[in-house]
Amino acid sequence: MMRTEADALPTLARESTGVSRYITRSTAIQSAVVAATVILVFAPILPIFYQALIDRPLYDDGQQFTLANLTDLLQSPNFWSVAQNTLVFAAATTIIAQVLGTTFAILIGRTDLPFKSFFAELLIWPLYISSLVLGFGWFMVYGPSGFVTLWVQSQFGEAPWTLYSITGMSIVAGISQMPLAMLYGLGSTALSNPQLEDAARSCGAGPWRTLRSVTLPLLMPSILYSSLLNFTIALEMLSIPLIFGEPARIGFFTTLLYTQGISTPKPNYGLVAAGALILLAIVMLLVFLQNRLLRNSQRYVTVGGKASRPKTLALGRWRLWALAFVSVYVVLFVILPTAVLFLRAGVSFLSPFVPFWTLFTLSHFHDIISFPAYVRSIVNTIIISVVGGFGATFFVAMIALVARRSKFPAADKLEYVAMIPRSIPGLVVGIGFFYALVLLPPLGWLRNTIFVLMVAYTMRYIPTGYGAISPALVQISTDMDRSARTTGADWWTTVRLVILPLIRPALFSSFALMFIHFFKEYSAAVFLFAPGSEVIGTTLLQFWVAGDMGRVAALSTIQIAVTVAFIYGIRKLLGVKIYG
Amino acid sequence: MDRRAFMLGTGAAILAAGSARAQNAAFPSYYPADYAKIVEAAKKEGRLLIYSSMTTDQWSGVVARFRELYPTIRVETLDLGTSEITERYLAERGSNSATADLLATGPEGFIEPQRRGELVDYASPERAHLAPWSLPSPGLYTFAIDPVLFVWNKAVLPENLVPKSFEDFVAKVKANPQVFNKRITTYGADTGAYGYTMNYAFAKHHGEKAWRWYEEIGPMTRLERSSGPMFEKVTTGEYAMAYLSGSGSPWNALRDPARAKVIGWSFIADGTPMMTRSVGVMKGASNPNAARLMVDVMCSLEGQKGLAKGQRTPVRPDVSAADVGGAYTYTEVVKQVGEANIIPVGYDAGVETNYNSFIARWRKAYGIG
Repeated sequence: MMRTEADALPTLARESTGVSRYITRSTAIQSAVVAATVILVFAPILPIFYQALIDRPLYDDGQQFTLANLTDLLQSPNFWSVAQNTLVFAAATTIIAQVLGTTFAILIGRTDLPFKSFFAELLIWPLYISSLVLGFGWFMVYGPSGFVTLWVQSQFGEAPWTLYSITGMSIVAGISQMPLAMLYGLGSTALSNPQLEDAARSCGAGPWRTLRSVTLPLLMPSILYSSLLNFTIALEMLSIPLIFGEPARIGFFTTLLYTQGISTPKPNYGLVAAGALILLAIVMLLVFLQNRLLRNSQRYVTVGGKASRPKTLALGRWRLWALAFVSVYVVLFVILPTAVLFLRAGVSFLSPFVPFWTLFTLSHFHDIISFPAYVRSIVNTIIISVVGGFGATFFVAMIALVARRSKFPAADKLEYVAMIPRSIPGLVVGIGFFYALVLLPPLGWLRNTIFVLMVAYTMRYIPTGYGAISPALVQISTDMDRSARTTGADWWTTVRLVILPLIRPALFSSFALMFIHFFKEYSAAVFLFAPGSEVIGTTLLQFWVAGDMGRVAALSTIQIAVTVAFIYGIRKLLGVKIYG
Repeated sequence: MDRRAFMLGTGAAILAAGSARAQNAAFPSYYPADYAKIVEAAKKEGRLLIYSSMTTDQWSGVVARFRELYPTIRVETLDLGTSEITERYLAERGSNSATADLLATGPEGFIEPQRRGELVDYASPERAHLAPWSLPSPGLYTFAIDPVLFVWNKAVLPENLVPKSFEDFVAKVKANPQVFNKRITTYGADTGAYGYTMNYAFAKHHGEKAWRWYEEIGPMTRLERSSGPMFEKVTTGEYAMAYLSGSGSPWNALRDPARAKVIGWSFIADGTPMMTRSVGVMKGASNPNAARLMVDVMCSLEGQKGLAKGQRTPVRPDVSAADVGGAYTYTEVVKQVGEANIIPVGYDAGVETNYNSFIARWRKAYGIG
């Protein structure tokens, strides 16, 4: 494809880019990276497009092209209520996450709040944990018969909240997405120039005025960026709608796809594919808007050459109030849900009618380790996270290098392709890869291996890794490349010996991010796992469906324990601080 | 690589230990003379893949029995959602890729495969020992049942409000909304095959009466996808009661005496739907002989005992309560409820053709959008 484009160029232009007409080691590598990216990203999307436009399952004979799937979906009676629920939920979740996240980012990044680094650590926690697991935790604390709910009921007669509502679900989702907003905000406050704030202060502005007129506006790019990220995540969230929306009959897009595609007695693949396409279109539109909004990001560049230490904002008499607020938040929304989850793992059952200390048992852990399939799900998850995370980091680094540091034709478009997976829900990625493998029998051997999971996860998290690597790449001056090239190094040698070593910290944090995301991923695996390739997420869902809440909690506990060990291990070994 | 090597290693060890026993395993006299041929061919195949909605530990008892007889054959089970079992098989079959040898699922899961002629008409030598009702169609064997129950929280539901029948239940719900409203639960008929087929059979059995009941209690009900969350929430008291609930989770949990203090249950006196699970050898099988052996094991007396260890209720008439440690068997359930009050949820072509109209009416009765 690239060749034909080059051939079509006028002769003059072709001469100026003449070098690229010859196949060298570097262009071969670049072409391979581009081809691999395009294949990886479009492999799951194309079958879904195809399925949306035919009148029967993909695997059946006699297919006819039709638009009926799309019109059926748009005309189905609950489509519009589902669409409305989903949009309201996503918007409310985003607002809650952004308000809280920005508040915490300013409190921790810009003020003299006591024990800042300690709180920062705790506040980030929900990000490391699968929202499925968080949902279980919330359910056990704040659900209708949760511990806190019952206590409040016994004191005041009635608990003033219910999780079985869009508001309740948005609060759960908003709080679990808060860390993302906070981290982007923190990254931004760490870079902000204190001179601007000083200038405001010297013009007579009080601390609040400074905050409102200087600090907050400077945070706008990060707020905007994380807003769109959180909005997308809320749109495609399956766990919280499944746990809290279903019993209250609140339908969402993802639960609709899940029901129509997996659990109904008569799966309607055309409808699922059409729904996936609509979701894809919405998110693509959002990504496009975000790119438009951040186009003038130069306006927000504040890092000058002069080094200075940001002066923190003195909270004064508000300091203790802020401390109280952060402490209560951490206890109620981070520690309690996790603690109850651990407790549930260690008792045979939890009920307000029986004191829990009479029920302690290790049987849930014992059940898990005594079945090879369950142990395998843990081992597989670790292998996928380590090996897959490593492979994915390397692959994403190559994409970033080709997109940002090569003369490859259309390299800038590669970045756009690499961002597409952000707009595809995990469930859809899983369905798409399943279709792709079913349609291409030569690749059939891939099914039933953990390799296909690594591939699917890699595809899903290209944008995440790219986000960690690309900014680091931008910071490294292209003078480096040029000086290497003048000494005779080709592109590949330059990249390998000069650039990659320089961005090593970014590669490490990309690996850490990949590990964490691969470790907690479940939605993409639902369609793809097979005997021998079970992962923790699919086993958790099975336990949930089979009603083994004790095992759900025990496996979640194991999942959290491995994640903690990994995060602290990698911090000690590699000195990586995940997220900034 | 390491994992595979490890598994091969353990496989070899089990093989060495088991082969001595296997050679002595004589088959019952009613097995055909050429049965050894199937066994030989199955040993050459060396493995077996089953798609079902049962977890690994629910399979473990009957798989242990199978391994005792055929230690060299590796059994793999994949736990999927009920509709996914069939869909995955059909998708893989449609594209000629490797797929399951056996499907073990509710009868509705076999409707489409049967229409496409995907079921092998295997006549198991155990046939003569099975009840005729448990052989719905050629090649299909019912291996377990799951009676549907009332389950309640004793601390939340006062003794005098415990229902004696479905009719009584509806009357009590109507008279005591402060106890029951939004605190009763059941399966959604529109979110899964289990809930749908069971409600279909229930409504067919009771006719218009069932629809009047649905209209009375439907709007006061919260819906769940599976018995797990349903039962957990009854235990915590979030729900006072679950109606038309599966029996697997509660019966298993009630082995814990502390939990038995909190939970009460009963059959439904005026009509207990009886879910069935069937198994069949598939045309797409790569290991058709091993699959036949497994069908025979699952239908055999020892195999049924093994299934009972995984909380599957045995169907074979000659399995006694003593065989399964005092747990229920089909015979025992029938004795308690009475033949007339059993609603078999079986193979019924109407299940498929009436899907859309049934769901529309059900949703209306339950007050859903």
